[in-house]
Amino acid sequence: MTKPKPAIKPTQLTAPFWDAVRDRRFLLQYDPAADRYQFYPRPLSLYSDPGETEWREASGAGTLVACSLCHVPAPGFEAEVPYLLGLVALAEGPRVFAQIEAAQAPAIGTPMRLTWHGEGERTVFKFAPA
Amino acid sequence: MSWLKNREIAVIGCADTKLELKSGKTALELAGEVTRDLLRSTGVARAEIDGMASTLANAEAHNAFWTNMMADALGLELAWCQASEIGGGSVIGNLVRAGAAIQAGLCEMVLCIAADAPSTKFVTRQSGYREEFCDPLGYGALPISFGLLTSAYAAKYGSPDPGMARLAVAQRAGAVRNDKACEKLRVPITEADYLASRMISDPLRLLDCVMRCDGANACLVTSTARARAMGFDTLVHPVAYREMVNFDPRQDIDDITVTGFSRVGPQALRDAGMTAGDIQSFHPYDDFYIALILQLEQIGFCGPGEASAFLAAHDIGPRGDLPINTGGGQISAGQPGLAGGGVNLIEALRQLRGEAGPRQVARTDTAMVTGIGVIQYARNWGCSNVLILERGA
Repeated sequence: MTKPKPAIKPTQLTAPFWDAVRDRRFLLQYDPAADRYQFYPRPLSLYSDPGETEWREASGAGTLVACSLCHVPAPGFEAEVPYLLGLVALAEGPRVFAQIEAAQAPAIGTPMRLTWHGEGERTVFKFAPA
Repeated sequence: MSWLKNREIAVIGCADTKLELKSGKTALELAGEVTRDLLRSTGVARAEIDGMASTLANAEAHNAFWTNMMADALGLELAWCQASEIGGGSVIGNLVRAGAAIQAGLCEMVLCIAADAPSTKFVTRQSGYREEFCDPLGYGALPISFGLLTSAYAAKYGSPDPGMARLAVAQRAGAVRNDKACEKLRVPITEADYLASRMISDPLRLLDCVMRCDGANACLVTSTARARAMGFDTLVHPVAYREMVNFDPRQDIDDITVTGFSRVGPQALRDAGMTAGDIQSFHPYDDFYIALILQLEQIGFCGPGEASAFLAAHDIGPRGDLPINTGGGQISAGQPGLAGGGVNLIEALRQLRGEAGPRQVARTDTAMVTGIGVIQYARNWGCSNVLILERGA
């Protein structure tokens, strides 16, 4: 039986990220003082004091750093198993966790690109080999 | 921390309950059971205990007054009381926090206790990145994080399967010799069984994973002077301890397989004036076998990428040259939730006390115990800690 997928409940901090996802844009926090990006969104920059950040859109390009074929579904993903999950290091620096779209696990180091699925509240980002 | 190196703190006794799947007991009932055993085996009067350090419990995580309630249930009057929340690192962290509290004069005799019953009741809820950036994207369970780590390790160094298979067989053999281990797990396995077990988060297998169960463990910690004055002659001293929470927060290390152990392992050995070769039995926190591969390499038992070769070259059983998790560890004895780190600690204490029965190791001067706590976003784990123990002369 398939359960509902967990609803994403944005916080005040993360609402701009999820608002952008609905427009199929992937935002990173950028620290202009340190010229570095970070993800997931945090209340402070990791890279300079006192830690101001602004939002910037990611290019969507990256490299696969880890990949696993998952047989233990999260709630709502029962019908999709097995599915690939991975960590992608974006060209801007931060690593992102997401599903990987591929017939089998791509080699670690494979260039990847962001892909978009669904509409509105159900918009989801994944990565596929570039 | 010269009071560690100078052996000013002593563990005078330890106890643990049978590990059980779905025991039907509460964490407080298990805490009572293990405290009774500890009082009986040490002969210490309850009124002499004036400090308590506890872990949290998955089965009680809705209770913000957990340690107060435990003191009430156990009938303890305390001058110092705390709960540690560094996940699986909490048990060994508590032993040293207890030592620090005694050194600071806050208390004299500390009950370090860990009790949890997650296979009977599980009420912990995650928040933050886990709830927002993992679960809604298909993150169903912890093995996924370790499957991802294993894939990154394999890409860099080759598959760790040969080393993990040896660990799996040796730890199962330990559980067979350990009557406190979960009965379900007290069945020998072969390397072929390990390699044939089904994939959970490929390349991570079912037999790589820990199984949650219910149980409790505890030890009594006091000053060495007080222990001697009370007539205790079997003492175990913590002689070095290092803890690292949220290693590399800026993520400057561009390799998710590099953990906090790469820092705290060598530091703890240096503090103790030892090298890895001086460790006579090793009791690493084992939630997944890839974590042992990384610990062996990063603490310094062998070099990066060499764990499988190291494990092929050494006998890790109780009669071997480097016994590892001789009682089965958590993977083969069961993980009593947030009390899980005590499975590794109590085994080390038993070995140094010479009380390990059919799995007693020959050399009992030193042992190392580790802890791992909390899974991070797109990295590895949030807490790495290392404790070195020596048997009192």
